[in-house]
Formats: sequence, C-alpha cells, structure tokens
Amino acid sequence: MADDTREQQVTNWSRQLRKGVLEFLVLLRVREREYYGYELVHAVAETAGGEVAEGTLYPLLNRLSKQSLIASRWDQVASGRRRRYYRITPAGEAVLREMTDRWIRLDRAVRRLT
Amino acid sequence: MNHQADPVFSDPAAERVWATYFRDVDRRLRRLSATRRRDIRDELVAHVLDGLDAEDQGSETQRLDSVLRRMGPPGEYLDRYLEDADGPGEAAAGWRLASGLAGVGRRFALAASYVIGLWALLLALAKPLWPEQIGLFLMPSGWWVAGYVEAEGAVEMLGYWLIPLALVLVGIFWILLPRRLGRR
Repeated sequence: MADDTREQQVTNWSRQLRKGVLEFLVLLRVREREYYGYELVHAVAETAGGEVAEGTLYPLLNRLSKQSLIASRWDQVASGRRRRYYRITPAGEAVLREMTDRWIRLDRAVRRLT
Repeated sequence: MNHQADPVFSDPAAERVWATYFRDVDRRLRRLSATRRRDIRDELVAHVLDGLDAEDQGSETQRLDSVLRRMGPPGEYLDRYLEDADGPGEAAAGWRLASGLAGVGRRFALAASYVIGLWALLLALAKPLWPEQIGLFLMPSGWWVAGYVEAEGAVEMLGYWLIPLALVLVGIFWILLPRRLGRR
C-alpha cells in the first residue's frame, strides 16, 4: 500500500516534470534543423521518456507558434502528401538561451544536493 | 495549397478505425473556424500517415492502431487548441454568435433581476403609506396585479404579509440571482 502511494507520487512528479520540460525539448530540437510534424513530435516524445501522448504536442507547437518562438510552413512531399515543417525563430533562440541557462543552474543546484 | 486527403485503406477494419478516430477529431474541433479546423486536421492526418509509413510490423489495422495509440485519444489533447483559441479568426462563427447571445442574455437577465428587486423594495416601503392601494390584487378580470391599484372590485390578497415577502424577493433578485449570473 505504502509502495503504491510512493510509486504514484513519483509517477505524478515525473509527469509534471515532463510536462514542464516539453517546451524546452521542442525548442532544443528545432534549433538543430527544420523538423516536420511527425518527426519532431516523435523525437520529443521519445526524449521525454515515451510516456507522452504524441497528440498532446501539437497544441504545444500551436502555442509556441502563437508566441512566435517557432515558425512553420506547409510543404508538398512525394505522392501529393503534405507536411508542416517547424523551425526556431530568433525570438525562440533568445528564449531557448535563457531556458538553457536556467536549466544548467537548476541542474547544478540539484547535483550539489544529491 | 490542397488539403491533406484521407488515405484509402484496403482493410475495412482499418477504414473503420480511421473513421471513428477522425469523427471524434471533427466533433471536438467544431467550435473552431473552418480554416483553423482544416489546418489542425491536416496536420493530424499528416502525422498519422507518416506514422503508418514508419511502422513496418503488422497488418494495416494493427499499424494504424499503434500510431493512433501513440497519438492518444482526441479528447486528451484537442481541447487545448480550444483553450488557446483566440480572436475571431479562430473561433467558428456559430460558436461566436452563441457566445455573444449568451453574453447578451446574461446581461439582460441581470438588468431584469435588479429592476424586479427594486420594484419589490418599493412595494415593501410603500405598503405602510398606502395600505389599501399597495399589494397583490386579484382583479375582477381574473388577472393578478402587484403594485398600486385603486380599481373597484380588486381584492388585496396579502395584507401586510406583502412586506416580508417583498423583502425576500429583494434578497433573491439583488443577491442570489446576480451571484448565480456571475456578478457581485
């Protein structure tokens, strides 16, 4: 019973942590190069531990686009299919630098305690 | 640019799985404008098609199941688009109209509530001044009238009970109802 509770607590904490870090992961990915939707979402979901429903990342991409942190364009690929490609914007790069800096500081602080 | 076409499946079971999933998607996105809805749907379709290409194990239905399972049920993520939707470009015209009408209706109900409360308060205050003319009257025509009445044959029904009853109405129409309607 106590183990179940502890397990649940850790699962909840882990879920919250992943949710909080998803934006960071998306920006890190699209800084590398232009990604199309499936490729980006699949990569981010995998990096986040594979427990993220891939669909949940699309509203996140939508929000980041609205905040002008990423930009997207549709492109026609083989056999008449379309893909939406995402890339980071200068504003996104600036935010990512800040996020990276804070992440590193947090990581150092946690390492000192563990 | 053309919209993303739905795929054609050779297995009817896969066709059904697809139709069920995207029917739910369409239903959940109906509050958004047609352009926005199409844009989101196209992206989800593109994702599933790319996912099917990447899956190399199993039947068509199994591959589709696997991609949609990783995607998650539409109810788990599509509402977030609605939460983030802003401006007339994103919300569907019908939904905007319904929201607008609801807002107008609420304001009208609120105004009516204050007016009725004021009327009840005036009745309570005026009753001691004109005890015979103020009250709830049954008119000879069979109609009920609450207010100042001097008509012959009209029967006053409440007497001084009008005062506490009117004050209860003031409480209802000035406090309880406005709270229910989201003000005060």
